[in-house]
Amino acid sequence: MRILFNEVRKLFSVKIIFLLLLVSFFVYQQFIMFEFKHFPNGRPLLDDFRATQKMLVDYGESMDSEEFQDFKEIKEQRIAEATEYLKSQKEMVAAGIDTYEEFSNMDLENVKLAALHSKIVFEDYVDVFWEIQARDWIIDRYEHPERFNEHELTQEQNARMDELVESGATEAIFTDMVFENYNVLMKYVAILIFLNIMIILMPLYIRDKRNHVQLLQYTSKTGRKLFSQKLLTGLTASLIIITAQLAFFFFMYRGNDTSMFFPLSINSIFNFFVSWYDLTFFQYIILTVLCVYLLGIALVLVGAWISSIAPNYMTSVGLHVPLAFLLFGTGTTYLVQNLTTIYLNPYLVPISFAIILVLSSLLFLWRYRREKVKNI
Amino acid sequence: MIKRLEFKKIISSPIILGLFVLFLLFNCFLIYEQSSIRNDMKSLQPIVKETGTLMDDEGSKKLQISHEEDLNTWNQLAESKTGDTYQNASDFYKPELYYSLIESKIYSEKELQDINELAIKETYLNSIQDIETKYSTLNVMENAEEGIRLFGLKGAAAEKVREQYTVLKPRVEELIQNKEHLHLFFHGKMFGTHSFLFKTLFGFMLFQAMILIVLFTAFIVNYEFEHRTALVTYATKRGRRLMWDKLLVSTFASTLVTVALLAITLSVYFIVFDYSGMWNVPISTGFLIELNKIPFISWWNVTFIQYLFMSCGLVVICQILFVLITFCLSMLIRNSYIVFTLFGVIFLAGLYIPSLMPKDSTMLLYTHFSPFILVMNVKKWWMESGVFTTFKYYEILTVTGWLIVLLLTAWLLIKRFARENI
Repeated sequence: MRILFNEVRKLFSVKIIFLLLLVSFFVYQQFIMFEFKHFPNGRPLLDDFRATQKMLVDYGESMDSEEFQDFKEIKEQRIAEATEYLKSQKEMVAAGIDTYEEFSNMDLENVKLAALHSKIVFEDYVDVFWEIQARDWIIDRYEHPERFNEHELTQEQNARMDELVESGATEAIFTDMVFENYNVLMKYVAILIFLNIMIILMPLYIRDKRNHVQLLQYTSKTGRKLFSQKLLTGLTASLIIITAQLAFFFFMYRGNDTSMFFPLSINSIFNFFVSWYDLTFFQYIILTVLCVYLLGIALVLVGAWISSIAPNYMTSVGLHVPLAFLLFGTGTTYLVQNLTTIYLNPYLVPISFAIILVLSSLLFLWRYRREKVKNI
Repeated sequence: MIKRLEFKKIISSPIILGLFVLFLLFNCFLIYEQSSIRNDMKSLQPIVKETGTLMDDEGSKKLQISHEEDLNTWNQLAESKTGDTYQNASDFYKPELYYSLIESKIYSEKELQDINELAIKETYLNSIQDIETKYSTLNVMENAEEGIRLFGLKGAAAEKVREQYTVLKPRVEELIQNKEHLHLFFHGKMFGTHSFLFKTLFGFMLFQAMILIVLFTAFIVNYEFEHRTALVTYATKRGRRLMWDKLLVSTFASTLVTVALLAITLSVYFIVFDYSGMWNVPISTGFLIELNKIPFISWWNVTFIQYLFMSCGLVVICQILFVLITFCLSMLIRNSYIVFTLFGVIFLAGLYIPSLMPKDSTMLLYTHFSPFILVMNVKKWWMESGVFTTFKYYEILTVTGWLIVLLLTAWLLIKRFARENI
């Protein structure tokens, strides 16, 4: 235990912590903050988000046909408001546009009318016009659930779609904005976490090798055990990092104010994503977190292996380059983002994880066996 | 002798060679993925042979006549086969007719290829008019205002941008007068060759070379410290001068690696994609315009081959800058993997700093004069490149400025090292 504690302390030197903070700061600034600052990103997404939030408050978790009528009525009210607004604008009345009906059928080829149109929509940002647009979109999605499965799908995929429509999961008042936003954020957070793990594990074995203390250590039985102790060290260190990074991320994520979506089904008609399983948004978040932890553990095994075979830092960093390329690209796309999506085989995620974990453990075990009896 | 041994340290490390080969394979894979369009691209060469690349009134008339002839031939064939005639070749691809024609197998492979080529020829012909209108109504000052509004520039910064675009204006007029924009080239909207070559391929090659260079520079500079021979080596006067050798060798090796990477990848590219007859087309041609409809306006009248070599040269110089940055870092920090990570941090910081600048200060523009921002935008080198970096000598100023500063820093650090207590 004391060895473990001291080894972990060695990894988290002040210099390294400072470096990790620097890396995290710049990755947050370049890739992550944008999704926090600009959520929802512009209009009419903002209006869509507001309308969805109102729906949640008014109708609860899903919208039945009665509530849908109410929703449509609100839209009619908004149209009335829009008409009133148009009537109050002299230039609009002068141009003969005094109802919303006329406004929406405006001839935008006409330069003069187009200027009026963009004045209301893009210069004055009159909320009601944006809101009608957003509500139109929601109504359209709701009225045409058949579009839900208009892609060419296999039989199983179709069966899954039908099952969802029947169970009513599709009626949940969810929105693709929240889902996409989380998906993008999680990808970058996962990349940042993996980057941190790579940086901190780089000197795991190399440092002792370079300092030639292995000559001393390996003459004793406890010294030979250090090899596996160091793996435990690596695991502990990376679990600390993953937990700290995720804690910070979810602290920041609270600012996006999406907690009301947590208990809702992600298989909603308002989301473009369809899962093989009946997951709520909260369950989906837990699943991604789990996957980040598992990938992190696999990365520790591979990283420790690299650190134990590399003769110097250059080789170690060099070997990390293709690993990072695979992990940050393909790895996060299939194993952190869009988990359990219907467009991929349902067994892809569990099987890939099984293979990755088994292979990386084998790789390490092979090294461990040799290290035990190595002649130095 | 010493230099040769230092060089051997780089060359004999398997990881550098391994990564180099891996990167080459990856580039070949990228080219392979893109190679499906090579046959369609090839149909431009016969057109150029027939009419030349310049599509002024005379050239376009020639193309028009040739197109009409081909269409007539095709219509005769079509009439004998199905009784249809076509107004233009693209009508053949109308979905209501096309699928039944394909299914009934009336036309042979060869004939289908002919109509495909004819349709491509037609696209080139139809684009001429679009390009002429586009350039005759092109107002770069308006583009500048649009950019200023979009990024919210104010005061001195906005003034500076306007000033730069005023300098660009006569160049646009010259470009139109030279008819640079009317030269046939692989259609940008169909093939996007410029983006693939100068954004995807060059972008990857820049980063690949950068990774290799930062790795081996950090490695050889601290080699003695990592191998615990520093106390012996640096005890002598000659030993302290070793740093000069290391700097020279890493610069030489970086040039070698970059040139090899560029040469091999580009050879594969030009073997797969036939550019014969296109080498001397001006890079500012309107046919290059891609789906985003932004014209390429180079600051000088350069041809494609000149542009290619200018860009390759700049890539090599950028890599020398990265050698110098890594060298300076390694002189300060004696741990190669921390140097590698710090280099990454500095790179990100270089991209981040402009966003800290106030929107009304010219500092906002000057912070864009950094190699990190430079290498992110290879596609628009030597050209009008958006409000922040449209300066006539942007590329040259950036690299010479940084080269001088970094060389001075490196020199100071080596001087300091000569007297340092280790």
